[in-house]
Amino acid sequence: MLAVGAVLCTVALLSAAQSPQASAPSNQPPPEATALILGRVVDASSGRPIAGAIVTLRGSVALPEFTGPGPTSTPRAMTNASGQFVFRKLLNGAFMLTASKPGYADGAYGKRRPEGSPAPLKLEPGERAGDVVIPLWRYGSIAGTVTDEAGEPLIGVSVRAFQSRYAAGHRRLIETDFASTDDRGIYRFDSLIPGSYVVAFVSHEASLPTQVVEATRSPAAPGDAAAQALRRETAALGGPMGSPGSPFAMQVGGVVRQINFSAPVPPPGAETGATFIYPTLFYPAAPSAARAALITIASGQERENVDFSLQPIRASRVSGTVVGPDGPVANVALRLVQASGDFQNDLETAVTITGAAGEFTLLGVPAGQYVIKVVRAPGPTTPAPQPQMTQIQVGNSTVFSSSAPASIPGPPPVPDDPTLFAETAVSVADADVSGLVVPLQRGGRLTGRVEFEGARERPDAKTMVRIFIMPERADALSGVNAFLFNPSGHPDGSGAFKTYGLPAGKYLLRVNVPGGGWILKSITNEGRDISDTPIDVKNGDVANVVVTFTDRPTKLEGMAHTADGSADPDALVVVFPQDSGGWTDFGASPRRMRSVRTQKNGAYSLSGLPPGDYYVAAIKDEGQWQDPQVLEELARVASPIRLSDGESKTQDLKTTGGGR
Amino acid sequence: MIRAAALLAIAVVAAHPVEAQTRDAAAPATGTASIAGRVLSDTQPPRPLRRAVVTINAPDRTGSTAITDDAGRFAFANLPAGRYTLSASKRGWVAMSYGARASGRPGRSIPLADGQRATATLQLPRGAVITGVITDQNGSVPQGVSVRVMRYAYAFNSSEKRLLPANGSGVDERGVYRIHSLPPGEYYVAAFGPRDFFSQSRDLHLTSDVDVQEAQRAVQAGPTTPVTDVVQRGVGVTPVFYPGTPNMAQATAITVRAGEERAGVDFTIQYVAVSHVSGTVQGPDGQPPVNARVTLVTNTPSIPDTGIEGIRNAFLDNRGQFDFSAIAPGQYVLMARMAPPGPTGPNAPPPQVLSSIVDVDVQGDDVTGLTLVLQEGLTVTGTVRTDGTAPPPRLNALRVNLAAVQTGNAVNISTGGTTVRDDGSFTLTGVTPGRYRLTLFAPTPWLVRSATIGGQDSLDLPVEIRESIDDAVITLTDRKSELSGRIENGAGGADYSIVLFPENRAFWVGPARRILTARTAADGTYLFGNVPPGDYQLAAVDDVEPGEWYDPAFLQRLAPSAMKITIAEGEKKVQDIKIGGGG
Repeated sequence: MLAVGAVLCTVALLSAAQSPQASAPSNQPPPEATALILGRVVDASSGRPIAGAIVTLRGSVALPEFTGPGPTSTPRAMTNASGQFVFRKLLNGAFMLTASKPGYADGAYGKRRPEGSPAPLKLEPGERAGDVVIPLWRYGSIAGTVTDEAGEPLIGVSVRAFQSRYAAGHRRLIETDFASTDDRGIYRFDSLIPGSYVVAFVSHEASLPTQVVEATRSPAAPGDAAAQALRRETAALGGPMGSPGSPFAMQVGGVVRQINFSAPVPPPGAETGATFIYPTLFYPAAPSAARAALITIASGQERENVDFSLQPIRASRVSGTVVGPDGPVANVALRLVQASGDFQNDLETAVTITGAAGEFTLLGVPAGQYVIKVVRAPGPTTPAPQPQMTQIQVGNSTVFSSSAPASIPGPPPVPDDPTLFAETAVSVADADVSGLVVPLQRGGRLTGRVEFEGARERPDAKTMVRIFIMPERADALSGVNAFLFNPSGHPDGSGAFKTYGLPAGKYLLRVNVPGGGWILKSITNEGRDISDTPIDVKNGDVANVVVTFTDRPTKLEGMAHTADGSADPDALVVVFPQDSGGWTDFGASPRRMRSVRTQKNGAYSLSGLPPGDYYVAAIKDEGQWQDPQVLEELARVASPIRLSDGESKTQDLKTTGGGR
Repeated sequence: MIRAAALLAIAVVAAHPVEAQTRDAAAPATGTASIAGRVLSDTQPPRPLRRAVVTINAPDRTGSTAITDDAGRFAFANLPAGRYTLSASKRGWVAMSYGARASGRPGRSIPLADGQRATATLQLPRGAVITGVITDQNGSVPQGVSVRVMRYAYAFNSSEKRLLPANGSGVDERGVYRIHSLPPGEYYVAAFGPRDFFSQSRDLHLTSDVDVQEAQRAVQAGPTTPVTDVVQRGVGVTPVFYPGTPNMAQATAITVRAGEERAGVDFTIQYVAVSHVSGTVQGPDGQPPVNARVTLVTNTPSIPDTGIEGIRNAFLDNRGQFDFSAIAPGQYVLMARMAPPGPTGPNAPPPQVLSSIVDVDVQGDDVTGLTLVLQEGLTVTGTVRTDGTAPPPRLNALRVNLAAVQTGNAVNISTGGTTVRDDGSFTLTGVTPGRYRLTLFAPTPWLVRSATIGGQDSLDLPVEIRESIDDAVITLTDRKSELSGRIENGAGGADYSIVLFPENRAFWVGPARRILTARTAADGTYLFGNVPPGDYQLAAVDDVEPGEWYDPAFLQRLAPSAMKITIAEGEKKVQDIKIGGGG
């Protein structure tokens, strides 16, 4: 699923980037658009046609031979009662065909599993492709009722579904869906792809010092850096906070407790001012994911009665001070998260913002092991220009639309100020924790330069500044939750760059390509490639990072054959490093772990792999092939190849059983 | 509506000026009064509502929030003397203010003296439910459709009743929608198509039998035989009202009682033929503009407020061309805007905005070849002044806005606000011609006394802007005027709505700052805490629907029995009212 997301994303980005070229006038007469596609959308399990599905045709510009429709035209067809659709007047080229239908996971031509990879459909000039089949897999569902200790249904409460999946070589719980209970307390996840799920109600408490709430309510002047910083911290916690006197917040002993609209209304506090909460509950009745029931859902399966009975408990307060290198740090956001490696994203239990003297109080913390996380990124060096807002009133509706500034000057320069961060472990028993000191440290940053190897014209300064040099967590833990800001650096006209300071951890560097025929060759630091091998920034800044672009991409191509020697149009060709050290912690978008579907004639083609030693294999089923155990099995049957700089290699393959 | 507003004969009691009560702004937030009470269901017999959220508020003071216990009880202690309003809400139930006659109506405030212990009971109706199934003309579940229930009400910026959205829901994969927590009342249900705000190209065609047959023939015949072309007509979804009509006038109202679940509100959406709207945008130099944005806005009077569904945005290609697809028949406003680069920074002038606007009528055929030539908008330049003794506000934290004043069902387009510079000057650019009010949100204790353009106060009379303006003046004052009093009808605790409206009928342009209403408090007193100085009429009515007071016809009916009253700047006037006879 992750891989699919990444592929589609790339297609979209490229299509936007290429549009000026696509519409550039050409000396040759335009080719005649006479190809057509006649196809069917079918239920993958029963083979029955699906009426009313919407099929979308996109030019697959990710492929070099792209001549398909431009990005401004994305024709869509709704299937008839027999599930059929027709696209006409097409140029030759490679196309992506996707289909959607309520109750089904989005399908695509070439997919063999709901989370599998699509394949391009190639059309010759004037070709008529008949019986192009797009399978759709029915979603499964999980439904239940949420009640409180009195048996009263809880309304408007969020329940979350986590799928157990592999990410960067680790099994993780990845949040795939959330659902709100209706007026009967009923929730329903209606779009679950087949897999194993954990379902949970997650407790979340936000509380703020009274003066912080008041400060966020008055308008912030554009030049008021402290007010703007507080706005950013509030936004990091999910936006504006409610005030007492509204239904969204109440005063609790010196702090303002938020009444979250997607959480149950908490029980009233006792005379003692104790805080009662509904603690996190994993179905059926576990406080942590380790003892949760794994619910396995097949395509089309409807699981009911996954009910929650929430019982309030008296929760503790965790209070203390955030101290930076220059003393207490005011108005910085704190997140108390579960100390668990099970989740892709941090599971927040309580959040707050420090007061004027760096003091904080986190409300509603049940007994357990936690980590307090703080990340304070430096604010922008110059305030962003204010876009001109246009207010459009239609009847009684008002819509604001911002007029984009005429030239986007590129991303703002990376400030010299440090990123401050903390990760402080906290153990909470059944009593308040006070006097905690959360020390902020300076995050190390990556500095270096960008180089170009090749004869092509180098990008100009305007293009250079749009190169994003993006640190990515090697363990593929969520970028958003890991940073709460974009830590990317951008080369200046001379090619020099620096990233923001980063919280301690292992990182991989990623870049986007500048266009103009340049592709990434390597990102090295002291002789090792940190686009594959994570680098630890815990010991401060890392200098001399060299990002090298080349204009000579490697190319790997060939044919996949079935056991009887015929071309295999249904294989998935997977490439992975020979060194098993690269089978985990390869981030969310690995460079050396790639897969591609074979085309109708059994051919495959992959370009831009970094030079190195690889295994390449064609497999039937594209299950979770990135699972290190599967890779170990595949390594035994795969073909070893070595790609050197700019090399084109042909490797024919025999399809094997493959993943699971 | 007027039937509910029984006019009351008012006997004037001599107004007696009192010394302005000096309220210490820094008074401690704790006091000695309290309010305790219960939240109950409005059923027979009432039952306690636990976990209801109760809020208490008073003017110029931070409010408090409490949660009811298992017996529905709540309490607010340590309250300073003042006039308090109470409200209660509970999910699945309808929020109510204390003393309100229905949901959405103003409550009665509770005056508290030092040491006073008041009690209050709030009763909430259970919310109603409307649920049903949406299918398309082929019996399939349509994609991306949302359902909204709407009701007629006075809009905040209008003096007439309109169909306004009350609540909404998505449609699940079975086509089911469910909208709950609705106040009892009369509703219209409408289904809307996908939100296309950000997408420019949404071509969708239905697959016809002849299309499939001809394609099959072409596939079998091989690449050398010519293909018979079949037109693939684009379709889209336009708003449909229950029981299945695109016409608001033919919609069927659904009336629900408190707690009622109305199931089976099923209806079908139709795919209608849609068109492309395409053309070119040129800069003032005739060249394709850089980074201009084109917006197409629905302006069909028979379609109610569609909000974001009524708006589509597009960018231009490098030849300045745009192409909107899937545009349903109707009237539209097409607007192009562009902000050329300029200096930035806190005191830099805002970028000049170029724009162009045309009306577009779509009748089912493609509209092509439109040309929009960008022109510089109008500029409004002015100054913010203060007149008072309080510490002056931070001028560069203030924002000035030009609010378009709606006329009919038209689309109004106005430039967003601008920040005031350190020296109090401001410049609004890219202003399209129209009627405007110049507005500013003043921080306490400052109030906007006037916002003049060419000497005319736009807050009272919207100003027609046809050319650039350089004499706008916004004046802030810290002298607040107040009007309060007691209504006596001989029975004690008189319960009326008081309407204060300007004597000058030219100012009856909603939402006018001089049209004010207040509900009498539990002890029969009333208070207008901030009255712009001027000549007014004061009337008491039994009940009034929110927003109705902006309806000139309503005010006209009040005028003959109303009492004239003049408020000076900074005056704290007390005006008691005796009601007799015609009540």
